[in-house]
Amino acid sequence: MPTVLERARTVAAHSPSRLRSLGALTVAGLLLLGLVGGVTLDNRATAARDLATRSEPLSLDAQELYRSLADADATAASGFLSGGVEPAELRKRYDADIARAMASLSHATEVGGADAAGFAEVARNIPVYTGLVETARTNNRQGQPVGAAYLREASGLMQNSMLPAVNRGYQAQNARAAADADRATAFPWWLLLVALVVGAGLVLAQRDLTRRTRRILNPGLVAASLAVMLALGWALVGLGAEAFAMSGARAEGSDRVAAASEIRLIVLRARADESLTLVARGTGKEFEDRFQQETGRLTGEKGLFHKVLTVRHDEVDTILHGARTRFESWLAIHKKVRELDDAGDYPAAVRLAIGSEPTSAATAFTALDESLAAAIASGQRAFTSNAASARGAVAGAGIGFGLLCALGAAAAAWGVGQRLKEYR
Amino acid sequence: MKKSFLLVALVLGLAGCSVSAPEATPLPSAVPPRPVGVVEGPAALPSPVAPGAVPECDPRASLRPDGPLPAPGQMPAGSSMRRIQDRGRLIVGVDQNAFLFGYRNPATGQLEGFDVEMLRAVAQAIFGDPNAITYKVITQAQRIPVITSGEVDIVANTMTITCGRLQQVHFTTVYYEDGQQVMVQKGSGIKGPADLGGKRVCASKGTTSIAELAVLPAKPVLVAVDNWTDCLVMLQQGQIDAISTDAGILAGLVAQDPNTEIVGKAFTEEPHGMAISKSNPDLVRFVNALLEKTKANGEWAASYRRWLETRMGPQPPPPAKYLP
Repeated sequence: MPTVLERARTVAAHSPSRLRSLGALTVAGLLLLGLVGGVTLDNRATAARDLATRSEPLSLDAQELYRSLADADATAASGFLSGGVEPAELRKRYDADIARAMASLSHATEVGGADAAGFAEVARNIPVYTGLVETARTNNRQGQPVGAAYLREASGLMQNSMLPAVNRGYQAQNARAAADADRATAFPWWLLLVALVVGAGLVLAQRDLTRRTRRILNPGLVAASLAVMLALGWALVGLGAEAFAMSGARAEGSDRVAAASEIRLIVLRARADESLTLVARGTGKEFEDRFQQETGRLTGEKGLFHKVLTVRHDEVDTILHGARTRFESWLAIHKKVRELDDAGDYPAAVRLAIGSEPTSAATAFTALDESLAAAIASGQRAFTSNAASARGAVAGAGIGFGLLCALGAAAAAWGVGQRLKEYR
Repeated sequence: MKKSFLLVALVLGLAGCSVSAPEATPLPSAVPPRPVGVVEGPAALPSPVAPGAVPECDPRASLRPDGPLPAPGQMPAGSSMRRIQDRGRLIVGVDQNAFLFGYRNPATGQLEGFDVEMLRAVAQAIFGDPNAITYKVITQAQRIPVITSGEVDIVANTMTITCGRLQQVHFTTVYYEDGQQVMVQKGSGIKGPADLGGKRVCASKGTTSIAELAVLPAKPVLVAVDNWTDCLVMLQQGQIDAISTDAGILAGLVAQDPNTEIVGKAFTEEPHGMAISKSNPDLVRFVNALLEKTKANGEWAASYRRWLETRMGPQPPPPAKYLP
C-alpha cells in the first residue's frame, strides 16, 4: 500500500511543475556559483593589485621616508663634529636625504596612506626642521656656539616627533600590506562550499531526469556541467598559480625587503649614536650603550643577519653576505674610535669616525648602507615580478568564471525547457 | 527605504562638498619647536632647599695652600696630584655652550674660554703640558654629580660658590667675581628684574640663577633648559621674554646676537670657583697655590683680558681668602 506521501511524490515526479522547479533550482545554483566564484576571483585580483600598487609601495615610501630623515639627522650631527664649514660630501648627502624624504612623502600622500595624520605631521615639520638646521649652519659659519643649540633643537624635533610619526605610518602601512597579502592568498572556502553543493545538485538533477525521462543524458545539463567544470578548472589553476606567485613574492620579496630595511634602520640609528657619543664629548655613555644594544640585535646566533641569511641562496642573499662583512668591519673601526676617545685623544677619534679616508668609520658605514640599499632593491624586484605573475594568474578570471556559470545556467534552462515541451 | 537612501546620499554629497570647500578645512596651527629638555613653571626649580637647612658660611674662604708649588712632573708621592700625574691626563668637566667661559669653537671644534684656560693652567702645573687634558662636556646640572662620583678631577663651569654646594664639594678660591643680570631683546620695555612679573624668563637647570629668579618679588614664569645657548634660541624664536644669569654668561650670549641687550643692575653676587671632590683636599690646596701664582704673575690678567675685559670692563684679580 503506497502511503499518501509516496503517491504525492509519484504525481509530482510526473508533473511538469516538478520539472520546472528542478530547472529553476539548477539555474539558481549555477548563477549563485557564478556570483560567488566571480566575486572571490575578483577579490583576489584586487587584493593582488592593491598589494603590488598600493600597500607595498607605500610601505617602501614610509621606510624610505624614515631612512632619509634619520640619515639627514645623523649627517647633520656629523657635520657639526667636523668643525668649521662641513665637508661638501656631508652637505650633499644631507641635501639628497631631504630631497628623497620630500619625494617619498609626496608620493605617499598622493597614493593615500594608512596614516594620513602622521604623514601630515611630518609634512608640517620638514620645513621647520630644515629651517633650524640652516640657522645652525649660519651660526656655525659665523663662529657662534648658539649654532649647536639650534642643531640640538632640530635633532630633538626629528627624534621625538617626526621619526615616531613616520614610524607609526610605517607600522600602519605594513599592517595593511600584510592584510592585503592575507586577502590575496586566503583559502576560498565559500567558493569550495558552493561549488560542492552546486556540483552535487547538478549530478542529482541529471540522475533524476535520466530516471524519469528514460534518456541517458540531457544535453543542456551536460553543457552546464561542462561549463562549470571549465570554470572551476580555471579557478583552480588561477588561484593555485596566484597563491604560488604570491608566496614567492612574500618569501623572496617583501619578507626580505622588510628584514633588510629593519637592519638598515638599526645600523642607521647606531651610526647616529656613534656621532652623538662624540658630540656629547665624554658624557655620551647612554648613546654608546644604545649603540651596543642596537648592533647587538644584528650579530650572533639570534641576530637579524643570521636569521635572514639562512633561508635561501639568491641574489639578495649574496648581497646580504657582503653587508654582514661590511657591518663587521664597521664594528671593528667603531671599537677603535671608542678606544681613542676613551684614552683622551678626542680629535683622532672624531677624525676616525667622520673622516673620508678609506679606513674611517664613515667610509665603512657608507659601504654597509649601500649594500643594504642594494639588497632592498633586489628584494623589491623579486617582489614586483612575482606580484605581477600573481596578478596575471587571476586577471579576468572573475568575469570569466561568472560568464561560464551564466552560460551553464542558460544551457541548463534550455535543456530542462526541451523536456518541459514534451508535456505540452 | 528609498527615501532614507536618498537622504544618506544627500548628506554624503554635502559632506563631500564641505571637505573640498576651503573655509571648512581646519588650518593646522604651527607648533614651535622647542629645545630638548625644556621645563616650565614650578617644575623648573628642583627640590627647593628649606631655609636654615644650610649653615651660614663665608663662601669665598677656601683651603690654604701648604707651601710652594711642586715642580711640574714631580708631584709629591701619595698625593691626588701624583695620582693624576701617573694617569697621564687631567680629567675635567667643562661647558661647551657658554661663550667666553667654556665653549666649543665651531670653526675648529676646540674647547675654549676663560674657564678652559684656568684648567689648562692646572694641567701645565701638574704635567708641564697644558694639553694633557681629557674634557668631559657637562651641563650645569651635572656639575656636582660628576665631582661626587669621581668621574672628573675638577669642574670649571661658571660655578658660583655657595654654602649649600660647599656641603657636597670643595671649592678653590674665587677666580672670577660676577653678579646676576637680565638680558632681553632690544626695545622689549623690560628695564630690570622688577619688570619681570609674569614674563617668561629662562635659565639653565641646576644653577643659582634659576634659584634667584624663583625668589624674585616680581614672580616671573620660570623656563629651565639644559644649556645657556638653548635660552638664546628660545629668545630668538620669541618663546621667552628674558634670560637671567651672571653678566659674563649674558655677555657671551649678547655677543652672538646684536639685537639683544643686558638691562638693569646686578642683583646678586656670584663668586666663581672650581669644584673639587671632598676627598681631594690636597688638590684644592694645590690649585689655590697655583691661582695665587697666576694672579700675581699676570697670567690671570692675560686670560681675563683675552676673554672678558672688552665686554665686562677691567677687574682686578679677586683676592684669595682662606679658612682659618
